[in-house]
Amino acid sequence: MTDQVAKPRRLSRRMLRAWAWIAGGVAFFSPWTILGLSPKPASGTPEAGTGKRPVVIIRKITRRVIVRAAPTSAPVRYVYTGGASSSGSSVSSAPAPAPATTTTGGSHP
Amino acid sequence: MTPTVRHDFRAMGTPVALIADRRAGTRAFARAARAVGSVFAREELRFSRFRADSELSRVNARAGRWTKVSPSFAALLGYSLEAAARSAGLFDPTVLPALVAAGYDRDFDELLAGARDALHPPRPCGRWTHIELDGELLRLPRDVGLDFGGVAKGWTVDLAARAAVEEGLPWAVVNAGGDLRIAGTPPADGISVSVEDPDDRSAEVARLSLESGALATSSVTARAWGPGLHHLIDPRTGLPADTGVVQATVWAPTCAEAEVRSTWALLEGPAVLDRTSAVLVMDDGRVVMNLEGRSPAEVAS
Repeated sequence: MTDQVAKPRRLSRRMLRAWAWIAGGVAFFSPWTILGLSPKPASGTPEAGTGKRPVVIIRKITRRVIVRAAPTSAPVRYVYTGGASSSGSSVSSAPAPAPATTTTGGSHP
Repeated sequence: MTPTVRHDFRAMGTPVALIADRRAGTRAFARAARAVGSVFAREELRFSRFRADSELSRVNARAGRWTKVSPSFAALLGYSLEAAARSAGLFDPTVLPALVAAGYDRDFDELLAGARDALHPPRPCGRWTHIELDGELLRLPRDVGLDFGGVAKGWTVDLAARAAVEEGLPWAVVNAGGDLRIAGTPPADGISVSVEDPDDRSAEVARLSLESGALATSSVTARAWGPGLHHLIDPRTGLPADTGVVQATVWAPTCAEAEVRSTWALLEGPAVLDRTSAVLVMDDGRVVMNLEGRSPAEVAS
C-alpha cells in the first residue's frame, strides 16, 4: 500500500485576486511608509519641517562712534550723531534735531 | 533755521538739487536754476562714458592715437593724473576696463533694469602713468579707457555752485547724488547735512554743519548690482573694493577734491583720518570720524 501524497490545495481564483490586491497595495504605499518611519534631520529652527519658511533675523547694527583727533580744523563739524550708542572719546547722542537741509550718502543712482 | 528753496532735476545719472536761501527772491533763484542746469548739460556731454557723442567716448575710441581735447577736458585729466600720483594710484582714472569687467558696462539705470549675464576676469589698472598729455593733446595707451567717474561729477558740482552764486544768490548748495558744494556766504550756523546710514538710507549716522567747501561720500552700498559688486574698483586688485570701509564721507575745499579723497579713504581705511576730515562707516558697525563736535545743548538751541 502506498501512501497517498496530499495534493497541494490550489487557491481559489477569488483568493488569488485578493492576495494580488494586497501585494499591489503594499508595493504602492511602501515608499511613503519608509519615508514616514525614517528619522528626521535635526534642525535649529522650530518651524523647519512644518512647511513654513525659515525665519531669518537680521541683526540691526548698533553704531559705535569713535572720534579721533582732527588733522586740521575743517569748516565742517558734526552736530548730531543719529541713533548710535556712543563710546570711545566724547560723542554723545543728542536729541533728534530738525530735518537736515540736505543729505550725503554715496552716489545715488 | 534758515528758510530754503530748492530745485531738483536729474543729470549724469543722478538726482541733482540746487538749494538756496528763500529770501534771495524767485527771479535770482530761477536764473540760478537755469545756470546750474546748463552747466550739468554741458559737462555731461563732455565727460559721460554712456553717451556715444561725448568727448570722453571720442577720446576713448581713439586710444593709441594723439587726440586734441577741450581745455576743460585737459584740465580735469591733469587734475586726475595729479590726484593719482598723490594717492599712489589709489585714485585711478584708468579703472574703466576693470569696471566694465566687473559688470558696470552700461548706464546705471539700465544696469539695474537688466540682470548681468556673466562677469569677466578682473582687469589690471594703474595704467595712468602711461597716459601722455601735452597741453590739449592727449594719447592714451592702446588698451586703456578713461573713466573720470565721481570726480567729473564733483568738478561739475563745483562749476554749478559757482554759477549759481554768480546769478545773484547770497549762497547756494549744489548736491549731485550726495556730492555737494556750498558757494557764497552761508548762514552763521552753516548748512546742516545728514550723513546717511549705508544700511538704512532713511536713517543717519551723523549730522554735519557745513560752513564752506564740499562733502563727498563714497559707498560700496551705492551703485551696487550684486553681492560684492559695486562701482568702486580697488586698482590694486582690479576688483570691487573690500577694505572694511562701507562708506566714507570726506570734507575738502572743492567737490572734485572731496571725490578724490572719499575714494582714497574708502580704499585706505581709517589711516586716512590722519590727514583728511572724514566720517567712515566700517563693516563692523563702527563710525570713525575726526570732526570736532558741538555739544547737544548747542544742537538743541
